[in-house]
Amino acid sequence: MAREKFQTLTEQMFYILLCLRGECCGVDIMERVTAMTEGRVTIGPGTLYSLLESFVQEGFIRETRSEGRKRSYIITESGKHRLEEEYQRILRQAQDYRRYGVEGIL
Amino acid sequence: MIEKKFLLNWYQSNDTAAMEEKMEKMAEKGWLLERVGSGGWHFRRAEPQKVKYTITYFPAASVFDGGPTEGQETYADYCAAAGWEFVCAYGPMQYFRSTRPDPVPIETDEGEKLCAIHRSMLKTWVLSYGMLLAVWLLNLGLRLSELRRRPLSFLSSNRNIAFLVLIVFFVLYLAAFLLDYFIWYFRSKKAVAEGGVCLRPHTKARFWASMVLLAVAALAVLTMVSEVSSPGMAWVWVYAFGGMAVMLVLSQGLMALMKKRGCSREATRTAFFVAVVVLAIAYTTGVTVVVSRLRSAGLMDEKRPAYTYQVSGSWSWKIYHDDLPLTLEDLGYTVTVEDRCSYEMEGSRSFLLGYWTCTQRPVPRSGSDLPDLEYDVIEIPWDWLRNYVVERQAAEYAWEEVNDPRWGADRMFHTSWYIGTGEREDRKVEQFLLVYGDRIYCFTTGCDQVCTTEQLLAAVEKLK
Repeated sequence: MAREKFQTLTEQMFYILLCLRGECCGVDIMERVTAMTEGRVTIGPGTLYSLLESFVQEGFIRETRSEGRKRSYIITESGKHRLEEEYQRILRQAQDYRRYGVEGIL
Repeated sequence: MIEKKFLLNWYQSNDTAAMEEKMEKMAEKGWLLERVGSGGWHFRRAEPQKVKYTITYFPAASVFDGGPTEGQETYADYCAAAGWEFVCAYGPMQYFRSTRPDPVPIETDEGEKLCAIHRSMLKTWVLSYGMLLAVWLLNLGLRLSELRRRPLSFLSSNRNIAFLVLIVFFVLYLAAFLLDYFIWYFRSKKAVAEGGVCLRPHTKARFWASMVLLAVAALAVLTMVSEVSSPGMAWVWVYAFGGMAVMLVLSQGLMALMKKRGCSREATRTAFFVAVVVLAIAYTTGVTVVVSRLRSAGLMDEKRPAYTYQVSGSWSWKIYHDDLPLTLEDLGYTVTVEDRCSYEMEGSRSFLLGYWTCTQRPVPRSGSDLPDLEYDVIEIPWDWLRNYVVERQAAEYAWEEVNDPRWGADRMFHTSWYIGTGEREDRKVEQFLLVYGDRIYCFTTGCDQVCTTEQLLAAVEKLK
């Protein structure tokens, strides 16, 4: 189920993983993502909570610190790999757009 | 001035949008949600205000939790950071509100939202409705089996018919709920996969279905209660309803107490289920005890005997003087007072049909040489049903329809067989099904029976 879920990362998944290239507290991720995308992408707290749980289960991120209920996370090698794959997929999409959409090669 | 308000929750649990709209309208009218119970919402009076509500599902939470789990608290912390105040929770349902004009929605991924709703629904409503459906289906099977085994006896009681209708409605309601939920889930899943949002469930349809079910249930219970024909039965009903209410209060009270004392989820859940099982056993044992006590006190008798005759020691015999359509006297027997004959019509009548077994028998050990008379009477005012019953009875017992004007019957069926080997006339037994107007009579005559066919034929005028 989880494998199928992460075959293609949604924008929100992509930015959470990207944000966690550096250690970050769960609550702060929402603000960071909004800042990174200049408000284009917002992550709801409920969605953030369940995605963090799923990422931990999948091994894409790991918990680094826990101060009371305040938990910090960081991306794992597996998560970096998945993020890189997603980046390459988006890149191919962009290249295809440039080739067929802008230059008009068919 | 009223400071508190309670509203029943008629909404489908997966229709969070409709519930949120309701909360927001209540806030505009000056009522803020305070807590949620098993039946509905509790509000407190406040200044009328614009408040945004969001109901989310937290699948890991349970109704047996004494307070929020660590996960729930972390979840609430995330929501608080986004401007959402945690209001209350009921099992996996979490209620939040925000006074910000345009807060970031708690759920920004429809797939995650649908997944949380589905996981929560499976372990709560779908599970409990599925278990209820199984119980009611078992009940329906038992009632239908009784209807198949003793159709006339079953259908002659309004109580049986009302209960059967109630069960059928319950089964349909529960099955429709489960079907509707799964249709909603799979359609929403498809919509989300295509980039859309979760669909709105059919809350209005559910509301009206609930109303119809309530009306049917009320009508069925009224019918069953109105059929109470003995003081003992009234006590049984009091016990049945009162016992259920006590069971509910005790089991819910125990759960509330354990939650209040901060017991673990496992301890509360185990104690609750043990309490339910123990109470259910006590309840059903109680029914048996109450009924047997009332029966031995003579309070369960649906009619009072003319008098009770003491046969010997503790053996008494109830003597009835019911008005039988045909008696031993009509068949040419001489019945004396010393015979202490009991004339009894035992059965009942519903709006569909009446079905009675008529007996006339002398008291045992009276020295009477009178035989026991026994026959069945069925009264059906509906032509279509009468014809159906007659045809069915005839087919079941291989009776042949005959036309014998001597009997003057509207319809007449007959069958015969011989006792022992050979076909001796003095060993012949005959059975008659006679239809006179609304009534159907079933008599057996001949060898070892109470009368001969000729005796019955001579008395048949009385049946017309």
